[in-house]
Amino acid sequence: MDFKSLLQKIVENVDGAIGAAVIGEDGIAIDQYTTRSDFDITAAGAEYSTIISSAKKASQNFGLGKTTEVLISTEKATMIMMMMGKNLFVTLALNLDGNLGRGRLELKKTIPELEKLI
Amino acid sequence: MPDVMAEIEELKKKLQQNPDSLIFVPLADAYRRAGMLDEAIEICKKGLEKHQSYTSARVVLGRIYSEKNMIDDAIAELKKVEAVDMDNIMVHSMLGNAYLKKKRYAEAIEQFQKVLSLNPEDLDTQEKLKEALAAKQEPEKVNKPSQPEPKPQPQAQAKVEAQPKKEEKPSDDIQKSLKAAELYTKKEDFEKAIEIYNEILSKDPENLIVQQRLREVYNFQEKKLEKLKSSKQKEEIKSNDKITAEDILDVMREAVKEEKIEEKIEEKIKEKAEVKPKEEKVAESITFDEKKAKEIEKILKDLTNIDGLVGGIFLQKDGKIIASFLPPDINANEIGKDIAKIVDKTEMSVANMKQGKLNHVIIASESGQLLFTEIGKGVLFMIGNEKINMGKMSYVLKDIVVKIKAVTK
Repeated sequence: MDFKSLLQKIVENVDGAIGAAVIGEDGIAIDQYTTRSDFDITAAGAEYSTIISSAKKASQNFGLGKTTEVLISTEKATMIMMMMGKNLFVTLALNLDGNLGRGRLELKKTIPELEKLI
Repeated sequence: MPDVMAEIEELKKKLQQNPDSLIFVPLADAYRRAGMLDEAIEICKKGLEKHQSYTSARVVLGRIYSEKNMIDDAIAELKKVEAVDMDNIMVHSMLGNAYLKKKRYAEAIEQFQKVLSLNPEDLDTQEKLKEALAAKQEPEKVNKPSQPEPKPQPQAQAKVEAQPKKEEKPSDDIQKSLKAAELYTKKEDFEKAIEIYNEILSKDPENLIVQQRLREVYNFQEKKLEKLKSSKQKEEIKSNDKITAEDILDVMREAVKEEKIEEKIEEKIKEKAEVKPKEEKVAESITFDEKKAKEIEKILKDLTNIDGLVGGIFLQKDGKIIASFLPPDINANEIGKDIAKIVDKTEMSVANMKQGKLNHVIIASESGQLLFTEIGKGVLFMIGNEKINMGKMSYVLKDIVVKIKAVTK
């Protein structure tokens, strides 16, 4: 399986999922899969990637160790970003009524498979 | 390659449909991956004309320039990102590599050290830092004019031979001194740290690590002085703001002579008000009396009754703490600015993505969780340890928000 197929599988397995992408911490997408043309998951990932470095620094300042996950909830959607490999993260965007727990579970399950492709 | 070409076609179509979108960044990157670097530069530059503050595009452009070996252009582009996003680990790493290519080792070292301050476990960067440090040392050795060796006297020669060879690793004494200096730096006793580093340098002037650390300590010291200066200025403004008993007495003494007490007091108040425009600006963002702050502090204190939650802070968006309840080893005032920075960054990203209002953000780490959310004009920041999970954190949040809103009404 390639990146896109794995990302598609995540989106299809989660109720309310809009899209998923594998993105570098520099904000550049490696691959992505979306179900909605009006939601640019790669742009969102790129935009939110800037938060990851701040999150990492905050975690360190509080002595909490490595950052593993960042969740951003807004009026329109929820984005889950989970760290994978070196300087990469996989992100999943959900509608407000999306199944967040399932989304996190699917991401956790798929990360080892995605890591094998790096 | 065919995959990339298909991706390029798809992205080109999307960009044609919506020329103002941010899709030019993945398109430029796809061109880069396809080896079409000129096209990648062109598309990125065009996009940046419309979205000048879109830093991700500048990162991509920097990377393309690097691949095209246009290192000066890459550095110029990445420096622009660094100016607005000082914590961007990728940018520091790319800048470090670019400087390394240009053999600008001091700057490369500085960038790699920034990467390691954000992620100390980055092994690649640790290696590159070593490489840069070694490379910096190397030309210095090579460029040193070779001095004619003095003809040693037989006894002196024996002495020279008896001397131990210069160790590559710092001696135990130096190691101990370095550790002590680090401790003093951590404790913000910069004077003592500087003293130790200078002492080491007097014995080993070419020790690059110590030179670098000394520079860092000077920077820290400068920042601390600036901080002290600005807080002192604020204090001065504050004390100047207050109408003191002495002020009123002055006025009364004068007014008794002229029998115009009320008018004089009014005048004094106006006079004081004119000197405090800066302070007013800060105060207008959020105003809390002590009673409300205490109530919020109590709510934050109650938080710690929940298993896994260790504390919380309620602060203004500029980082000024309104109320906090934290473990003794965490200083709220020190972290206020950091929190304000991450909140500001997140809000900006959410606004850029037109995602409406930010509800909350949870940062999960190996041994704990951080959560922040806006409440009115303030920000609530909660800290949890490894016993709490994301679900419980969100659940607790709802309750706390209601309580704080009730106080801030």
